[in-house]
Amino acid sequence: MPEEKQNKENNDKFVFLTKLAANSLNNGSSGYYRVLLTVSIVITLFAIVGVYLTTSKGLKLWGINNSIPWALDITNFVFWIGISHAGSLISAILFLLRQHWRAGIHRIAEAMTIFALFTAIIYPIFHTGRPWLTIFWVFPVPIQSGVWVNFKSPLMWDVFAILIYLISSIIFLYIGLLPDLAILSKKVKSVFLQKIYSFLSSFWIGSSKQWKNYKATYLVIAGLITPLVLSVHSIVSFDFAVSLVPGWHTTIMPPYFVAGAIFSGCASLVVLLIIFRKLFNLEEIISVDVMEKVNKLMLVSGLMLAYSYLTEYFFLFYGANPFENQSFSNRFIGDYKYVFWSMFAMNIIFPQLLWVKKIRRSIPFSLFVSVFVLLGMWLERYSIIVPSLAKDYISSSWDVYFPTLTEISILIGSFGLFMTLFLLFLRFFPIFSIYDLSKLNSNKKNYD
Amino acid sequence: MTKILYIVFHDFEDFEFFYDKIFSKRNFNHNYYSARDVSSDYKIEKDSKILPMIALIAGIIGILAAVFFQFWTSASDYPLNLSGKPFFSFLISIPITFEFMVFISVLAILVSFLFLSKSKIKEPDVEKEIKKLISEGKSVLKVEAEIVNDDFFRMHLIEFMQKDKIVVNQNYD
Repeated sequence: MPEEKQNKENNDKFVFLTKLAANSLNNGSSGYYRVLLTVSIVITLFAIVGVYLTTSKGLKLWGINNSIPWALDITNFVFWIGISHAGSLISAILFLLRQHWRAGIHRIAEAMTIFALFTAIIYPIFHTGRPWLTIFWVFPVPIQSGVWVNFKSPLMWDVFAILIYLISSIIFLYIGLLPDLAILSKKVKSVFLQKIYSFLSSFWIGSSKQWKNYKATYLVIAGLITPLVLSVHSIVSFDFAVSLVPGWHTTIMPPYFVAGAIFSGCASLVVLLIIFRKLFNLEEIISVDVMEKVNKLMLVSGLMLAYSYLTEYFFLFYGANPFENQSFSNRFIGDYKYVFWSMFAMNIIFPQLLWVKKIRRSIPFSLFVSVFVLLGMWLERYSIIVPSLAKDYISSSWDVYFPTLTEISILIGSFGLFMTLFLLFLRFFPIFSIYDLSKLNSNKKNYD
Repeated sequence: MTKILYIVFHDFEDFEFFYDKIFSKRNFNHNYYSARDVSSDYKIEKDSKILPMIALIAGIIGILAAVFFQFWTSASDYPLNLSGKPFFSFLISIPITFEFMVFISVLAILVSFLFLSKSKIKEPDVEKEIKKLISEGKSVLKVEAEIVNDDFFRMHLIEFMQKDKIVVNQNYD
């Protein structure tokens, strides 16, 4: 009977997904995985060396100077915060919009958020020069002479926004993992994993009351995280927008930063999905249709970003502020013109390829566009931060900036750190949501 | 002690079908255990409203706490004159207040969720068995044994038993 066949398929689907997740945790790591992990750890060593040199010898090893105190480190910080945004977009906003295609990829997206935030946090901490004193500078505790941290400073807002975003994202990930951990605690062979899963899901038995509470909790946290996503990058943009530096002092910054963050986050997600669907043989779960949808999101956010660029240039033209003009001409035709025009091509021109359906559905082309978008978005942050500081109001304070090897090694190492954390996570936790995927396409029977 | 029936469904869709069929028409005291939630739940509507309410209250407390803390530190405990700016302003306290509100809400709903979702099965063996069954994709319906006196329920139960879709176990609560 067709009805019975459908039932069997649906139940088989649950069993299949459970087996697939359990196998990836039980069978140990594949050769490709080990190679990728080794490469990531080796790349991470660059960051460790860079950070060690910075803390032992001081910030003189960086190319920053009195005129340009923020450069590569803050560029990288903003870049990684941006990457973290698509994670919550995919998991929370698409959940609220009932976009069921997120089922296969939201775990990867949520993990991306957390590890990108971890990576981002290292930059401001080491930029202080004395990271062991960070606790006195960033947490709301009275410091010397009982003075409190300055709550009116956007840098302090950043601390709150990022830490709370990180904690909320970890909680959101945990809630999503809960039903899967309860199932897998009986399926994994490793005693260590069994103990961890059993501890994390010790109370979970899948009762009707628990499901009701689970759904309410997941919905409310998704609802709370959604404005948080928008606020975090808006607050990061305030670091620049509330200052008086020409090129930064503009009201377009918050939506501009949010659009850019979602854009770069989608690009990063596409790259990760392409790597992991191959590495864990997940072509059925992370299908080409899903990849196309993420590409569409990337295209839309790219158009929003292009609109923000145009608005910013219109403000520049219409405002006719000589200092702003000077700052932007430095970007367009000055010392940093190559950075600006490369950024423009990678962020505005290349993504237009995604209008073509064949390109959206092609894995190699998606990878090509996404890598260029990531590069473009990094250049965008560099192009906002460095040229604006290089030439501000007083010509006697104009300076140029060249990154040093120490800064570059920390930048390269941060990619290794991100990837290492990600690969370790995927080694110990299920890469996709069994619960969400088994619900997907299941046909509820009609009766009467 | 009440006699309890545990009806084990091999297939989730069968369980959902059975569940809808029975509980859309009858209001029996019941509970279920499953790896997935049923789309239509005919029991305990109040529960799902408690957690959002806790999040709301926690959020309001978070707002008040954040505003008070910023006011107290900036204007009372150590008023610091920064370029002649006012010691405190509501507008400038919005970012931290908002973030803190979300933080307190998320923490409160997590703690409440963990607290309210504690398993109420008294026998560890039964709990262990149910956990094993749901990890295999099976679903368990727990009802009072008296329910079989209802013709409507018994008719469907027998129908499912004949089709070999369920296993029925007895226990005491």
